[in-house]
Amino acid sequence: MTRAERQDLNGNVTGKVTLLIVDDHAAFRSFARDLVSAAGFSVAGEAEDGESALTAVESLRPDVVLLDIQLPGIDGIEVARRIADEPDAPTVVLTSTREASEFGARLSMSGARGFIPKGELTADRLTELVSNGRP
Amino acid sequence: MKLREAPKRRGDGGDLPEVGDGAATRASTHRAEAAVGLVDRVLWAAYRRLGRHYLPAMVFGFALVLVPGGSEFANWIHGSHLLPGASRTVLWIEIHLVVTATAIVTWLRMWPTTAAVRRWWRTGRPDARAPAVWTSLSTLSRKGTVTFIVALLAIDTIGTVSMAGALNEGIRGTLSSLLGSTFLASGGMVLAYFLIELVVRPVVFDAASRLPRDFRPQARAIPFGAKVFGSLLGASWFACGLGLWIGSGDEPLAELLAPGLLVAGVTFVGVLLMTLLITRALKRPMDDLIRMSRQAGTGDFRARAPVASADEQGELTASFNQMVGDLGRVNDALNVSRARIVAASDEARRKVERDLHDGAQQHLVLAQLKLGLLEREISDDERARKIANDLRGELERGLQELRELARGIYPATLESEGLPGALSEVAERSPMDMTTDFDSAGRYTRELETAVYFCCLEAIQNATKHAGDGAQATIRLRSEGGALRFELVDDGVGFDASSTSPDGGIQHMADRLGAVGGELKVRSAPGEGTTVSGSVPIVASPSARGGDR
Repeated sequence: MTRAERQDLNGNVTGKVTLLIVDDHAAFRSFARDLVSAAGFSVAGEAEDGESALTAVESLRPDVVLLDIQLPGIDGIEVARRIADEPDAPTVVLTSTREASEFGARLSMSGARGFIPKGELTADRLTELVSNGRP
Repeated sequence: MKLREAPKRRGDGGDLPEVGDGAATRASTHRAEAAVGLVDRVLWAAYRRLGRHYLPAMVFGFALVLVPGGSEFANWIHGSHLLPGASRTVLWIEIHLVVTATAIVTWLRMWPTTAAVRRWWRTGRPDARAPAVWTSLSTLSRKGTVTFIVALLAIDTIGTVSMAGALNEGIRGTLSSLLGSTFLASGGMVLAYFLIELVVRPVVFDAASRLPRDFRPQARAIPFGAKVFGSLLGASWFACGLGLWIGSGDEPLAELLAPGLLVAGVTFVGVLLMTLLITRALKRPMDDLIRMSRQAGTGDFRARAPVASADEQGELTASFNQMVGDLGRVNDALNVSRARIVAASDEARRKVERDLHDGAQQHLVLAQLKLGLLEREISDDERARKIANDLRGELERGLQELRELARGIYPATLESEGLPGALSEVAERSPMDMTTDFDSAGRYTRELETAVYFCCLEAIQNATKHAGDGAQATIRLRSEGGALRFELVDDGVGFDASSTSPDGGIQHMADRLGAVGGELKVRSAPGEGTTVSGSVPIVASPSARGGDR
């Protein structure tokens, strides 16, 4: 079910929010899948690098992308920037084992909804960030 | 030990070698000793035996041999009729009296210096009188030469006047005799100059080899032109005088005054012209070589001296040019190699930092997250919860240490934010009260940013460690005149930068900057804080950076 199929007449998303997990560590993807599923998200798919993330966004049309910054090839911030350039772009939440300060101004210019350090990633933080209005 | 190694010479008058180690180095003394061959070895042996009496003994010995020897030679040329027996005895006595007096005067003049130097050698430490001793030492050679020349002239004048008196020559005859003997004495002076230089060399070399590095020789050099002029004039007058005297035969000495003066004048002018020609021909290539050497000494190896002739001078210049060219190429290769080593080391740092984040830290973070899940599962079990809580503490400490370690190896902020961001972060984390003042927010090549960052980091760590309690520091970044300049100024306790040799840290900073063509300066004085500054030429500004993570 694509996003368009889950929108009512007013354009509000109905049903489960779909989410794409992008991380090059299989163990983290597996953990994140459990975490977001428990929080009521529907996992649309997984990707392990920047290129396949962009393809997956194109084909799966998820509502949310949980995007690791350190990826092989193009990094998460660049992926977020390219996603944001697309029409009807999904909400992007960036995450990393590094602290936000290490990325500096690049984070705020990425077009992502927000950043959650991996160590602080919980279902609540994610839901809160996704359900809040755009900053 | 090399037997024919040329002694290092500095200047001409003093002929003092460059001073080696601060300690009394017998090795350099031996090298100097071996350098100047058999004559010097004989002189050295005499010097060791006689000690401070060496110089007066030498003056006395030479005068004793040369002066009577000279007068006997003159007598032989003119025949024994020139001096009646009684006058000859008087002249002999006079000469020996003068020579003895000269030796005593020389001994008295030299004694304070040689005694002070020897006292210094015995105690092995330069005391408050050291600079005075050194000044005396540097003039020792000049003093000896002047004493010798004055003694020669005095002996010559007294001898000639008394001889002319004994022969009833009258004033004109006496003046003529004086002119002739001055001709001869001037030749003697040239000889004396080189003789004294030879004689004094053991003393000066020995003294100089024992002097601490700080006491650099201050000998006044005799200009090349003056040497040529003195040697030529002395040699010419000596030959002319001898010719006049011999050629005059039995003519009265008075008849020699006019031709003597004419010969003296003509020779003087001729020698002057020759000196100008010789000096011009030899000095210009020498000046070119000196200029080139100095330029090469500052690290600029582009200069070449013009090769104006195919003779030895031209060959010397050509080989000098080749040497400087080779040096330049070696220097360039060294710089490239140094830059490559530093770049490779920085790349290794970045890789280790990435590996720590992408490897160990990922696993620990995941463990932390899973621990959160576990904690929820065991929320009813008090004991299990406590263990899980302890485990969380351990994990967080481990992660924190890992982050600090990774940051120390290579700061990710430098990659993303450039120097201002990375240095601000360092300043914030520093336990010292530190302000930042950046007028340059631009991005530069990775090599430049890394070099400047790690230099500043080292400087900040040094200031934190050594500036003392309550010290404040400011770190500045400026982009001016095609160079990126940085400066860390603290108002701490400071240190005596002039007497402290660079430690490993400062040397490391200088090496790092050197690899990107920059330079480092450290200024400090006790109680006046420390300023570490550096500047690196800006090569190119990459448009965007940091997209490779």
